[in-house]
Amino acid sequence: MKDFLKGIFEKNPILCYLLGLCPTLAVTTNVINALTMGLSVIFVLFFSNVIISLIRKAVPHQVRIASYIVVIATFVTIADIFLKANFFEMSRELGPFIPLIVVNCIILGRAEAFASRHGLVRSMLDALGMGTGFTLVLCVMGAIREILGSGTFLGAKAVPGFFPQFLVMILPAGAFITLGLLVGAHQAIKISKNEKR
Amino acid sequence: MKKIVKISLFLLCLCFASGLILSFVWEKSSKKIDENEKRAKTEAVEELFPGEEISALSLDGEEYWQAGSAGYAFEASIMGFQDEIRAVVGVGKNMDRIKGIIILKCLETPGLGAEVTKDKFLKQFNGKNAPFSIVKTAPREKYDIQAVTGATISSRAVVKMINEKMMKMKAVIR
Repeated sequence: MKDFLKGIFEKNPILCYLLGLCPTLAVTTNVINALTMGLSVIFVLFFSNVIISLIRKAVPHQVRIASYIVVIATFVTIADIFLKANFFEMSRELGPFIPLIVVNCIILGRAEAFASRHGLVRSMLDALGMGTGFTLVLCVMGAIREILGSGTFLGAKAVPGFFPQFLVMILPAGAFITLGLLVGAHQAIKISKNEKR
Repeated sequence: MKKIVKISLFLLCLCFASGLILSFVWEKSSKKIDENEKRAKTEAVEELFPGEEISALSLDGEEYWQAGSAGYAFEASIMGFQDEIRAVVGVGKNMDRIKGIIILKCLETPGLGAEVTKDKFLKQFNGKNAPFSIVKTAPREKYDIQAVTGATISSRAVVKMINEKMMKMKAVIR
């Protein structure tokens, strides 16, 4: 259970390690994009962790990174094809960011740091935890940026008419501001927790 | 020497398995993807010509749609600020009047370049004939198109795309 929970808060891949920032900053202009991206990452992370954990004893040490990339790329391509076939609008919206999951360092990081050293069940839990942590942060960022930047939530009007829309929030600068505040808040909570102990 | 054979064999097997799985997945979904892309285009044409009978035609290597006796539609694309911009353009039956433009693909900056997909910008073309020219102030001439503020490159790309494609299609549909 610890393997699952640590990814959500204690060792959140975005807020702690600042991994996978490219999709974090780029696709969080609204909630639905963020959620699709998060779910795709969970899918890829889960199955690559499973496969890598299963073949970890057979992989020759010298080519392990290359092998991991092959496994990851396979699942990313499956996710990409699946979205194109079943959620066409969505995949058009996300553009190149789904194929770019291949180079998302969360996935390679978990493969190298966890799945290649631990058994199947723990690797699965690790993938689900890290993936959920990633998705949660993405959705929170998407919600903040969508509400402040476009005045909507999940595409529906969310703020009263007199409320101004901050264009900067849906531009890249808004992504950095939101991420910075979230990382700060996360650190503050962590510190106050440690002090209590 | 033995080691390198072992490593190569491992990678070979891994890539083979990956290729096998991917070709299987692709086999299952490629039809659906083609259909989706086609449907997006036909839906755009139907939106431009509601209630007309749409037929897909091809002449001199240019594909286009004929919408009953109301007019024609065709696909146009150009490199925008970040990536390709793709659109379906509907034109009246004498090829002298734009009925409407629907953007199919646009990955421009949200809030700036992406504004070219909005009605406010695209409506400027309606009822007019190419060639258009782009201006940054309020349009004075009939064929002036006012660029989206802060997105001159995207706006210029759309105008260029429509001018070029209209010229081409005017030569084809006669």
